[in-house]
Amino acid sequence: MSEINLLPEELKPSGYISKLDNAIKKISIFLLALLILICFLGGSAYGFLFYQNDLLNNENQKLKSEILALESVEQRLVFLKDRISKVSKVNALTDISESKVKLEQILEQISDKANLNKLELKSNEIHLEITFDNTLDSENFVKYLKESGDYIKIELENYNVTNLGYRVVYYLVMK
Amino acid sequence: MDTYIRFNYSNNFSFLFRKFAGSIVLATVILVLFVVIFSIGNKIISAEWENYKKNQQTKEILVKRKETLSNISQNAFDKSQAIAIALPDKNPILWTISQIKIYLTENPNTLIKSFVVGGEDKSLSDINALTFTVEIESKDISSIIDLIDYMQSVSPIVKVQSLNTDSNDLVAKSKIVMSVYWSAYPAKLDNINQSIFSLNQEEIEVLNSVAELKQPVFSSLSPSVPSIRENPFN
Repeated sequence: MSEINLLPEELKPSGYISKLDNAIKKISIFLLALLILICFLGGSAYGFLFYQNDLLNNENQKLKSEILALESVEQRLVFLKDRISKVSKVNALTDISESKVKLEQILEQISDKANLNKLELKSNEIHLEITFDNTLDSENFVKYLKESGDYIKIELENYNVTNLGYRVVYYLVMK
Repeated sequence: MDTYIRFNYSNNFSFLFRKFAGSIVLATVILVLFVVIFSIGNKIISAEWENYKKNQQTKEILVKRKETLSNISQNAFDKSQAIAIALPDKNPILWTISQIKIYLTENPNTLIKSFVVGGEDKSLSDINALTFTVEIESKDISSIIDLIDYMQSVSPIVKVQSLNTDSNDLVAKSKIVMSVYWSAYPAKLDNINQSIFSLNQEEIEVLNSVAELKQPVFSSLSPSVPSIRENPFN
């Protein structure tokens, strides 16, 4: 069947307008196809994720009930962890342990040469009052303290000559 | 019959618009639909994806939590009692006195002259501490050092803060300042969706060291059995 064109020739759409019209139509069709494709893919993705989430939720619920059955174990673990962390904190507090070790070394050093009259032990400090039989022993004791390298401060606070011997007061600060 | 077709030759633009109107409206509708569906769909799928990732993460935590709880060594739990005594939830001063008494029974040459309980120390926020002072008389300083060694090997945990000794040929008088500690037990468990970890090597070492401390002696008194009172006025 032949096409009837009633328009006069001068009103016939020019070439570029026809092309534009065709392009708009093609873009529309392309967008529509893309939209349908996206809708299909999006729907599939949503369906897949929804199904996976449902599966995961079921698995998680099952795991939670299994964990709840182990609650007594968890309670004991939490209790142990709490106690251990607090015991560690207490253990980290300063005490006279180190000073005591140094005192034992000092007592060993002076055992048969002098008498320890007074003693004051703190976490990092030692106050000693020792009576030596002679000055040589007191000198050797100071030499021992210096050579040990354990003290950052060795102070001779008092030196008295008594009828029992040479009474010396030391103040030691440990490293 | 004559047919008259009238054209508005003067309005060329209007004519062209009418010619394209269908295509333009269709394209616009599709474009708007495209934008709306894409943005809404993207939002819905993103939310579901986030949900999926969260569920997956929760599953991993729960699996790990279950494994941790299933595989924990029973050996560690056997030491729960020891650590509960080493750092109890109530003031353990009576247990500590009991431990000192045990030492004194084994070392009769050492005598307690006084025992003074001091104030509570709040230097650690979640741990309570109580300081007490013991005045002791012994034959020599080595007995005092023995006592300090002993106190460091007993449960509940005791920290010796200071020692003052004044000795002569006959007797050594000493003043020892010590602290005992206690802390409330944990009141609730962590959220089930949070990770939980088993004891690490360092924690096991602390637990083992605490388990080696000498435990206090708990004597249990059996209740007296009711007997027939021969004289009801007695």
